[in-house]
Amino acid sequence: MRTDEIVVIGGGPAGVSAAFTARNRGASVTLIDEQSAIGGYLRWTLSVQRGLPPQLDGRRGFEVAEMGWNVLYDSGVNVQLHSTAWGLFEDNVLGVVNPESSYQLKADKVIVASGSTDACVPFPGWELAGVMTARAALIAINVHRVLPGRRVALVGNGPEAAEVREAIETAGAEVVAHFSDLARFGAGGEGVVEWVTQGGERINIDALVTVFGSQPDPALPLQALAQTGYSELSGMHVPLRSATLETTSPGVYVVGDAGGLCSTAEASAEGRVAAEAAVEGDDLEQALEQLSETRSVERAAELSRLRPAAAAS
Amino acid sequence: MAEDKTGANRIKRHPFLGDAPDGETTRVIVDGNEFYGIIGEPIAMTLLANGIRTSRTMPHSGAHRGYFCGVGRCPDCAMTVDGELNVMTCTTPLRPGMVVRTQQGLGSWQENE
Repeated sequence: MRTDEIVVIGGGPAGVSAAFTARNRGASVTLIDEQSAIGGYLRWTLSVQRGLPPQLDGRRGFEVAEMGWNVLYDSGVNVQLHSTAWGLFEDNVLGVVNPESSYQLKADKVIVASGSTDACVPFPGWELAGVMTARAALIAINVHRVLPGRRVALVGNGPEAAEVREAIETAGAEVVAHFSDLARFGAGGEGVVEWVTQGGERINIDALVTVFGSQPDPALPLQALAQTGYSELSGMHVPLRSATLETTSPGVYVVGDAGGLCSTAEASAEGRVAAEAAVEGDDLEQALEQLSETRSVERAAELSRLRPAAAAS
Repeated sequence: MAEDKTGANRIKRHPFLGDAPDGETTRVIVDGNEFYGIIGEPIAMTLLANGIRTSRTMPHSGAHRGYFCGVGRCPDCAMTVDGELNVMTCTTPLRPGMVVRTQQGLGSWQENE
């Protein structure tokens, strides 16, 4: 069985921060990501990122992803791409699969930074070909430079809908309809989506993008039977975590969106805290202080409620 | 020009991302028809660029499904690739000379023989 001191699952801002911090403390680190490059959601966002280290701050998401990639490779972290960590078992043994092989990987400490997934809400026609999530559309446009369609409709609201709309229009396609809610909304077509309607008139389209927000994806710690609590801010159960982001499953940490939706700056700061704690580094206090600066009062209050019982005092 | 063959839905120029890099192209056969894609991109992107939106049909209803989650979580983009069933085309890179088929229901190993 392969082994490593620190294994990080996920190469978004939280995972990269954790891997880089642990490596700089001298630990041997493996980072596993199922995509073709690290960066996580930063790869497909054009939005400007704030609250990051000076060399990254103020840059667009995809630029931060590219720079993080270079820094991580130079640091000596063992990066495994196209690799899915599908299971977390006793004694921190992970099941990993990639296109060539399937293997077990035992870690002293596991830092889970598996991010979020897009929420899906059913409506008439939501299953038609040509209907896709916001994330799918952003990946097609901003990573692979492919338009989902020429006449695109959007359903959903908030800043993410604005971002998707901007991405589509910036890339040269037309947003012919934008619905903020699902009341009397429906889509139809023969096999593929051809029209949308809200109440009356039909509008012809060739793609429909749904923007219903995202939700944490903490599947691995849940599989390891880590205790959970309900997060109102994320709208689902998330793993309980100590102040240093360890779950009730010893040696398993959760950072970033996987532990509850958070900003890029907060995700990055969480990765640093977990890594300092996991390797018992000297800068834990400073990392905790930095983390607290990224958190809203509301979020800090919820997280203090979502602590394991033993660590609550 | 090889680039023009890779589909009408390509974004050639972008104010923030810059000009699209020149990727190496390859021929790909989809349901017996010839298309071109860029080596290394997800197979689903080759199809979307060429205006092909259906990847599979459902086993009972026959309803169409297409590229949906984009990150390998849902099964909607699964297709039969080089005879292998249920290949997740949103995360599987395009290789030279691939033969891709719209998967009917759960697919069939026999039809590939």
